[in-house]
Amino acid sequence: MNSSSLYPKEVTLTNCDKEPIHILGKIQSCGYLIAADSKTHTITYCSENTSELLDKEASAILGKKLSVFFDDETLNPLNKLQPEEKAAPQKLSFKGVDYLVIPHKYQGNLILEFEPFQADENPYAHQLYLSKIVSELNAVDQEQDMCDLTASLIKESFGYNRVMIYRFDANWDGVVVSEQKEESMESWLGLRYPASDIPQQARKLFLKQGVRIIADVKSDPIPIQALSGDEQENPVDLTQSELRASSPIHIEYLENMGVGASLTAAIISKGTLWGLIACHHNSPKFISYYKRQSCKFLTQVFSSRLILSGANQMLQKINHTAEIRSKLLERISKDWKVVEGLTAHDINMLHVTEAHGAAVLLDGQIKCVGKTPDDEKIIEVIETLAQIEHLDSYYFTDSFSKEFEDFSDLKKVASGVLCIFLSSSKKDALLWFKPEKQETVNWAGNPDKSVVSEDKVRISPRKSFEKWSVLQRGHSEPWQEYELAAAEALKQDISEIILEKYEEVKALNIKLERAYQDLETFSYSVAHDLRAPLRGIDGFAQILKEDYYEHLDSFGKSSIETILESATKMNQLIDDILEYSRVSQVNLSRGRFSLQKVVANLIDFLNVNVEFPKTKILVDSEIPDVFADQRMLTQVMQNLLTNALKYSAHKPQPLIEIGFEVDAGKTYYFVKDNGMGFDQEKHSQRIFQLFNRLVGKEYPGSGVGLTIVERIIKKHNGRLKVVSKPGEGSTFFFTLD
Amino acid sequence: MKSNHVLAIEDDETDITLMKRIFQKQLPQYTVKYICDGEEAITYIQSQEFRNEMPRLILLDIKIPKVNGLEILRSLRRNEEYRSIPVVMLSSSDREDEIELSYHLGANSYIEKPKTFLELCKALPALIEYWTVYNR
Repeated sequence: MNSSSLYPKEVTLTNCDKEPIHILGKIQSCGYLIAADSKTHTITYCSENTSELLDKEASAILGKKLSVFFDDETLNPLNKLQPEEKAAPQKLSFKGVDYLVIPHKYQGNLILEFEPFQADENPYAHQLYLSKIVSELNAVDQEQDMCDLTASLIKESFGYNRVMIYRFDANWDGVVVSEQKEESMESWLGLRYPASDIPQQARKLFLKQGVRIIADVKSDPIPIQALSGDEQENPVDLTQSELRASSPIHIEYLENMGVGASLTAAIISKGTLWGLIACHHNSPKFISYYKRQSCKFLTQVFSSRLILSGANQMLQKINHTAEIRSKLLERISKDWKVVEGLTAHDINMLHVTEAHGAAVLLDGQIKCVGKTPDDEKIIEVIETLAQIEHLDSYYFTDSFSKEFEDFSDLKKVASGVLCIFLSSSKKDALLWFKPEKQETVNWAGNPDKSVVSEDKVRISPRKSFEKWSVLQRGHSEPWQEYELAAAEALKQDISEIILEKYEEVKALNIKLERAYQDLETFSYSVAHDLRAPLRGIDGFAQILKEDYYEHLDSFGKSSIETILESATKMNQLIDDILEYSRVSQVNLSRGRFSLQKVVANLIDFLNVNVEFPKTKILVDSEIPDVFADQRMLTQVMQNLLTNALKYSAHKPQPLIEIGFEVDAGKTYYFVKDNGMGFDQEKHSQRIFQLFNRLVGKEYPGSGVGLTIVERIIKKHNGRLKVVSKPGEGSTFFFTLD
Repeated sequence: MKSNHVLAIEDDETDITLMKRIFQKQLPQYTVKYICDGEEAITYIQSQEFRNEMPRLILLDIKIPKVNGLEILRSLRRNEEYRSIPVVMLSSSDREDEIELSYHLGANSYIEKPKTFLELCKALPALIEYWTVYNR
């Protein structure tokens, strides 16, 4: 057989992934195949060797009804078959030889496969064997023990030279995790096989058909003839066939390994292929249908034990992390210190996973535990990850430095990175780090040469399976499912705490605001109520002054003056407080008016020319009209002007300028004096605080004026700033929105 | 109608004393009746005595115990005969709603109580002068 007949559809592969292995049009030489239309029972396909059974050439079989060759007893059960269903095998004799016929229905075809019937089948022994398997497998807990036990059970019962349990990793590379073999054979335990050795369509078929044998690697497969002529034009789908021929690439692969026969069983966990049980025999070896079923059953028991043990282990770890989480939460809920609570104690966020380092970034505060990159690097990592498009709330990798080359210097401590963002803004995050784990990976042959190019036409599998060791760098231990789940759960907990905290702060704020309002209302009415007794003090002092002044000595007289002065001061203070409260209680009533006019009126009202005869006031005639609350803005100008007058009065030539500047499209109105000024660095915030005064009694005032100014400007959505230098004067700028 | 009769409804004793002095010193031609309790005020304005001696002017504080000044005003204005008596609200508050309500109920003037005695000495005679002349 030349290679072109092996590759009927030019699957001269550059990539085995595309080989249509379910429609190769051949059957293994140990079996026979007849396929008929499932409705008409007209035979549409048969393997060339069926002539050996039926004593007729394939051409004489094709086109006939099944009933020509098989009796009703054989055919009746087949009518009830559902698509993709297999019927119970039956024993049939042809020319005095017993065969087992295994029928199934697939893609409109009724497919009958015949294989040699082995007389030693003992159903009772079979059942005993199965119950032994179950009880033995149930007795072990550890995954490795299960694998070893399964391998040895299979070796014992089926007699293959080598039995391997082969486990897939996330990239579909496989590792031999358990092996039972003839002593003389070289061990393949621990070897890694590249994903291309078992291509994806082969893995898919394994999911559909649990157990498969190749009885004789070296024998040529038997072509299938089709009624329609060229079988490959309209191939019969052998997806569920027991004995379909294998891919020539796979056969070559086995030959290169020196394998004469094989059995492969799929280990399926949660719908995906966990691994394979791969059995090799040096010479041809046929395993009967019933034994294959036993093997399938054993594999199923093994799979479910694996799942159960995996789930148990996961559960234990989850319980453990849940305990740690609840400890962390308890701590955090006590004082609301999330960052501290996660990192500051013996039991901390590190213990939620198996990482070696962890960090939390919250509200710009970062804290690390264990072995981590430095704070700056961590922030860089978070910023980089936050920029990944379509990234949900978390990211994890076990080869960070490979995914982000900029961070290759982090690989020692952070080859593994797990990052969970605490909010959609991706500013706050929890991180865990796993160090690099330099690991020697033993490949079965050089994985980069899993296929070799022989000539231009085709590529064949590698010929050498000698151990090929590679030092793997830049990888950490992988993140396990439970670690991801625990990290995610911790994030949920923290989010809830933060939310709770936020709600609490919000409630507190509302209370505070209410209290503040109450206080304002209170101070407003208190200030008012102070008026009456103050009028009394003032009034009676006045009466004393009018009626009894002459009868008092000089101390008495000065006392009365002091009472009157104090009452006046207190009245001023009450005025200021009332004005201050009024600003917050009254709504803005904006209008357009001339600031220049306001200033002119104030100069008049404050009697400036008489009270401050030395002071020169320059008002820019170009000041644009303002759109503001006139009463309030008058108050602003009055307070600023009064201050300017007061604090420049001691100068030989007091000068006050009132004008405006435009900067970046904003108009800044200003009141500038050449008075005493102040140290801006020390006092620029203080001067706007209520009752805060920088000066002593020599300058009368309540310390409310600038606070009122600031309030009014704020109420106009404007800004107030001051530029001042001691001895040189102050300039107050404000904007209005 | 007695031309020199004024009714002051006011509960603050200090204010009463101060007012008494101002009347004594600056407005001796007036006789003033002081009432410092809301209920008493209501009873009084419904009395025959009040009808017989209708004041030229009523000074009415808003914050009065038992019955509020505004209630007293409402009650007074309910009576047709008394609608022409000038009522000056004297209040320690400058609440806009109170001011508005006062005028709505028929006050003729609303004065925030002067801060100092000297201001009161100026304000009170001016008020009396204005409103007594007004009704003559």
